[in-house]
Amino acid sequence: MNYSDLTFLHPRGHLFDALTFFGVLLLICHTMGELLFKTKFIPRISGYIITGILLGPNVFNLINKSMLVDMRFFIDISVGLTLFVIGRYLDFKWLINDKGLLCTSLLEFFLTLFGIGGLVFFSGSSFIYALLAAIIISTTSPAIMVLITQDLNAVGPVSRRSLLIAATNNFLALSIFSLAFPFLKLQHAGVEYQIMYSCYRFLGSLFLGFISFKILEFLSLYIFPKRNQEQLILLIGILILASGLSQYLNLSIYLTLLSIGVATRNLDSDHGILDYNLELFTHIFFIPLFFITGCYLDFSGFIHTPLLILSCIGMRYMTKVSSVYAFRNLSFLTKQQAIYIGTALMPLSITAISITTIASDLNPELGSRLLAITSSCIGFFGIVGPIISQYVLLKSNEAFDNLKRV
Amino acid sequence: MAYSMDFKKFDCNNVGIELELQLINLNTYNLILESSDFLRRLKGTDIEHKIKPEVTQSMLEINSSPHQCYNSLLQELQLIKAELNETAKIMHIGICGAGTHPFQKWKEQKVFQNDRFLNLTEQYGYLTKQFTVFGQHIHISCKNGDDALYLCHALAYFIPHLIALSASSPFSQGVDTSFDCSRLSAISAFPLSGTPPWIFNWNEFEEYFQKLINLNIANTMKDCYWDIRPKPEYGTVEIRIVDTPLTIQKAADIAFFAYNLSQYLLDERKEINRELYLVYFVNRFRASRFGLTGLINDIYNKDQKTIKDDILHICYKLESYARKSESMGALERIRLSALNEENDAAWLRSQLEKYHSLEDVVRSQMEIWERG
Repeated sequence: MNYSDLTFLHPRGHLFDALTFFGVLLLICHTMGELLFKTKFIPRISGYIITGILLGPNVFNLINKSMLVDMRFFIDISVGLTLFVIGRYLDFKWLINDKGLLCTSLLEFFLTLFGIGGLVFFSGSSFIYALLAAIIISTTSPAIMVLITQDLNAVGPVSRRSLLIAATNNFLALSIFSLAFPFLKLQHAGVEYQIMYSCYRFLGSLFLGFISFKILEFLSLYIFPKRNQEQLILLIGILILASGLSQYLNLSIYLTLLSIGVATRNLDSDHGILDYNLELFTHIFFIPLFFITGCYLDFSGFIHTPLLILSCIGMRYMTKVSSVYAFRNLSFLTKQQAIYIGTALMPLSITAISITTIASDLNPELGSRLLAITSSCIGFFGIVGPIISQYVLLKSNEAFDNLKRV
Repeated sequence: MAYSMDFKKFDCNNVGIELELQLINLNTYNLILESSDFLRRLKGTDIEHKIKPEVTQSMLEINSSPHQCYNSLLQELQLIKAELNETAKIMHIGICGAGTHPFQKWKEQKVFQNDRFLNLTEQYGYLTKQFTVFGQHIHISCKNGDDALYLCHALAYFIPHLIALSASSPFSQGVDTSFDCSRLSAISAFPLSGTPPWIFNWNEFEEYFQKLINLNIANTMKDCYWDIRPKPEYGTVEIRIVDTPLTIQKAADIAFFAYNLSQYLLDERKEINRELYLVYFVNRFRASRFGLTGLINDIYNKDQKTIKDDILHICYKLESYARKSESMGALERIRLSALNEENDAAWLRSQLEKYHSLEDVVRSQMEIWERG
């Protein structure tokens, strides 16, 4: 009897199918993250991103595009969960009660948007290109904030406010991107058509988010009342369903999922939806997300347009910190808290990568020019942002080590 | 500086309270560790000096001035509450009463960073974090130290009554403890908890306390976690076993119940039987465990009775004192609470039955604090 007779020993499919790849990726990234986390000043996320950079096309080129495409399902769940979690941090009641925080959140986003947009526009780019670059570079990553606060057990005024501002920032960024999308996709269509499509996409996404929330609320209240695990499964189902429907209806998946999160935080008047403990879930699904962010990072902009990239980085830091600082009295923040919050907003959103990719798919010429700038900024803030955020939370004395002697 | 045992003198009888409150995260309904930021935001307001930190960062303590009549105390507490609620609203934090938080984990608490609490942590280790429980302290003025010591012992018989009336800590660490007041177990762990020594003369008490100081056991009266203790610097007796009630009104009701009772005891000046302390801890335990329906041993009449029946009996005796302190309404509410066997612990349990979640119990605690 030889090997060919022993059919049960013959492997089926490819060694690196999506499932195996996902498993290997989790193991490598998680180990790398943990090793770096032990240095005390580098967060786990940086480990995931650095693994992506090393294995991606920029260094060892072990990951090809088709592998990433195979991972699509996991990525979709990750993005869905991320956006839902982000939405849960956007609390309108708090923003209404703390006018300073509301002003800070709006100023922080729009000042960065106009600052970056202006820089890119006056460096000789078209309006739509400048707008897209500005949206991408303005977005703060609550996902990074969420993971770092979880890792450090950080609790306190700086972490809470940073998360709220980051959530508002994402909501605004995705709303504007969603509104701008038709103008990007259908550049040669009539303005009336573009406006109609823009409104449909924006309002439709919000409406689908709202309907999904109502279904979630109804089922949570009457079928799965106060049952954490069951509600979690229900939530995953709703998120996947909403993603599918959103795609089918030509709406913005990101805005739809984000608005479900926002709705559960702000519209659940009967308190039927539990405060899900998504810590483990988010951690598992954030890993591939940050890994892929690492794969896509590209620092070539620092060589081709160094001045513009450095100006964008400087502008982003200044506008975020100065916005929080400007309204610190209205928000009763100390100078130190304002600087910490502004600095903690540095990580660039992982959705920035996706937005860039979408823009590239829609308009390859625009996309490649966009990538040159945004990828370098994403690269810089992807590496430096989490480290700065972790440093700030440690400095603000909000991190907490449960194992430390009392 | 040496601790002064000079007993401060008041011209008139009065009562004041300290109330420890919970700071709540409005998203998770767990405790939130932001008392230092909260206190910073209160600087420059009218109530700045009436709010103090407590041992962990999810606690705040409010202090009233001394009062002779019920309405003025209630009014002051309501003003403090309004200012607190305003700050809490801006910070997106909830505030509530009750003796324990239903599901907080003590290991997640952070000690407030000041010399006193850091020193406590140095001495007592994890007990300081477990001390994240919330009580009401009632200060009753006394003419002199001898009166204060007499009152400490005379009130000892009524400690179970006060525990049962105020009990609002049926849940702890995520479970229904089956106690009406589970908070007391956190206090009992401290070596200087219990009852004051059997001394009735202030000079003798000063000598006794000097020995504690010389032996490095205590530096000030604050170090003695007795259920009742004299407070010479305030000229008061401080009752420390009461749970923080769910509402300001209930806090004022219980304060005036204790105040009227104290006036009655000081007027009657009955001889105190030392055997009182034979049954003290059993009576105290039954009050914590069973609340108003608990059976206590009456050492004077040599019989057993429910706390509820004894409260109803005492209420009758306190009517003239309540009239004098304009607290007849408060006495009536105390009477009804005993009659119907309804304390805050019962209300909290009813909320769990209604909502089936401890998060919703905390939410209803915040709502009743805001209304009450």
